[in-house]
Amino acid sequence: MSIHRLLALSTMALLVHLVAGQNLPKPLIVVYSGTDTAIAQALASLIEQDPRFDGETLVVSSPSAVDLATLLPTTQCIVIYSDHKDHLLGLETTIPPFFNLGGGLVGIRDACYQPSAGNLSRDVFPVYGNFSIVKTSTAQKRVRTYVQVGTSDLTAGLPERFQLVSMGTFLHADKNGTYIPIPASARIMYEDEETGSPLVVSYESEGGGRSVALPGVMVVKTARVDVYYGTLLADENFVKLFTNSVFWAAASPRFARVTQDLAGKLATIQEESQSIKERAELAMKRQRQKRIVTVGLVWILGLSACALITKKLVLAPIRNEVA
Amino acid sequence: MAIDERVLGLALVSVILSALIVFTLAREKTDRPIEILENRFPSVMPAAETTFSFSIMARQRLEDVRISFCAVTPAYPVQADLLVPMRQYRSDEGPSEVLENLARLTWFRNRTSALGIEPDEIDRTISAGNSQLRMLLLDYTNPLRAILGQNATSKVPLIYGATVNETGHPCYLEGGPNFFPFPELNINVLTISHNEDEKRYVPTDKIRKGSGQLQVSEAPRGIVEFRDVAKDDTITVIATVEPRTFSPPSSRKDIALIQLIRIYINGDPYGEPILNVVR
Repeated sequence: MSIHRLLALSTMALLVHLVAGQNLPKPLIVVYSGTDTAIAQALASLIEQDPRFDGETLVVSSPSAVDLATLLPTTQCIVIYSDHKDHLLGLETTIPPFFNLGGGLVGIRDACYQPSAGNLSRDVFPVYGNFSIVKTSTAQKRVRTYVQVGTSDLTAGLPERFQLVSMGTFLHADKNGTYIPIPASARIMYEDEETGSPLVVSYESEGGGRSVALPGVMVVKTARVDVYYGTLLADENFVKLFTNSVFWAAASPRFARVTQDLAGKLATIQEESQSIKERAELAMKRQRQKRIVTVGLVWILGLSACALITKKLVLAPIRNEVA
Repeated sequence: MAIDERVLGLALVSVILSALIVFTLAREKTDRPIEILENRFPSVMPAAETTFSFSIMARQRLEDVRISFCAVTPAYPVQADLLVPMRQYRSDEGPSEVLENLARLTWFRNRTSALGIEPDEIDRTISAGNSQLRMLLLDYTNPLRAILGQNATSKVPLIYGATVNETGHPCYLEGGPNFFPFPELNINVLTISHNEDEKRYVPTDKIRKGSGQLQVSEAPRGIVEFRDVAKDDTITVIATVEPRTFSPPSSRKDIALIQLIRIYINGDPYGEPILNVVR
C-alpha cells in the first residue's frame, strides 16, 4: 500500500470517526529503549510529529512493560531499541505470539543480535545477527552507508544511497566476519555498502504480522561524540526511514482484528457460561421429570399393593364375619 | 356391600401420608452439589519433592464441572517500573495503593478499562505463618483470553496483585492460569482423574514406553473440565513438584506460592475461590 493511499485511508477513517461521533479505540504505538527512556521518548516524538500518525504513543521502561503491552488490544506496533541484552530479557517468548497474531514490530540494534535477543533475531527480526562490527575509534567518520536493493513503502522518499551515523552493525557472518546471506523469506530493502549485509529488513509472519529490522543503528547517549543519538534523530533520512518503518509495520492487521467487535468477544464469556447453564438446566429438568415419574410409579405400585392387601387380608375376613 | 368407614379412613390416611412422602422425595434437593474431599498442600515449601492434591466428589449429577488452577508467585519490579521507587507504605495503606505504584499496571488498567475490560478482583486477608497479609489480585484471564485467544496470552502473566503485611511491607505478585508457574520445569508427575479414568503427565525424559503416560507440556494449562459427572463421582488432581525449581526465597519473602483454585458448577462459580498459601 502506498504512503499516499495510507494517508488517504487514515484521513477517511478519521472523518468516519468524527461523523459517527463514536468513541472508537485509538491504535497505540509502544516505544521501548531499555530502562533509560531518553531514546524512546525521542523516537516517540518523531512518530507523533508525522502527519500520517493518528493514534497514541506509549513509552515503556522495562521488558515486563513490553510484555504487558502485547496484551493490550489496541497495541498496533512495538518499537524496540536495545543496547544491552538485559533490556530484552524474556521478550523472545512474549513477542512472537504478538507477531503471530498480526502485530507490528520495529527492532533496532540488539533486537537483531542473537546473543542478546535470542530467537527474536531469527523469528521476528530475521537478521540472524551473530557477528558485530563496532568501530570504537573516532579517527574515522563513523557511519553506515545504506544502499537500496529493494523497493516498498519503506523506501518511499528516501535516496538510493545515504549515510547515517552509527558505530557499527550486526550481521549474519562466518567467523571471519564475511556476510552469509539470510533466508529469502525476509526482504532486504537496504544493504551495507561495506559488508553487503542487510541494514533494513522487512518481514511478514503467516498471521500477517509485520516487522522491520534495523541492525545498523548504533548510537550513544553522550552528546559530545559523533555517534550521538541526537545527531541521528536530526537526520531527515533517518526520520523518514524510521517513520516509514513504523507506519509500514503498524499497517499489520492486529489492531483491526483484535478491536473489531470487542464487546461481542467479551460477551462470549457470558454466552459460554449461559450455554452451559441452559444445558445444565435442561439436563436437570429431564432428571427431575424422570425422578417424578419413577417416584410416582413406585407410589402407584405401593398403593395398589396396599389396596390388594386391604382387600384380601382386611376386607375379606370382615365380609366373612358379616356373612 | 358398604365398606367399613374405619377401613376407608385408614386407607385415606395412608394415601395422604404416602403422597406427602412421595412429593417430599420428588422435590428433594441437595444443599451442596459437591463435597471437597481433599485439599492438601505444604504450608512451607520443603526442600525435597512435595505433593499438592485436590479432590472433589459430586453429591448429585452435574452437567459440567470445571476446576481452574492459577499459580501466583512474588514478583520484583525493576525501579523504572515503579512510579515512586522505594516507596514506604503506612500500615493503613492496602494492596491497592501498592498496585497503584506499579507504572505498567496503571496504564494497562486505564487502557483496558476504557475498552470495557475489567479484571476479576480477589480481595482477601490471608495468613502466612504468623503474618496476616492483605491481598488484592486482579485476574485478566477470562476477558483477555476471550479477546486475544490462548496462544497470545499463554506467555505473559494475566494475574497481577500485591500483599501488604501489618507493618506496611509490600510484595508484588504475578501469575496466571496453570498448576504451577513453569509446569514443564516444576512438575514431576501430574495426575488428573475422574473416577477410574486417569491421565498421567510426566516430563518427556521420564515417560516409560507403553505406559500411556503423557508429556507435561500436553497437560491442560490449569483448567480441568468434566461433563456428565454422576452422583458420587470423584475428580482428583495430584501433582508432585520439585520445589527447587521455584524461585529461591529471599529474606524479604513472605510467600513462595499462592495456588488459587476456583470451581465452576454448570457454568456458575461455586463458593469463594480457594487460596492455598505456601511460604
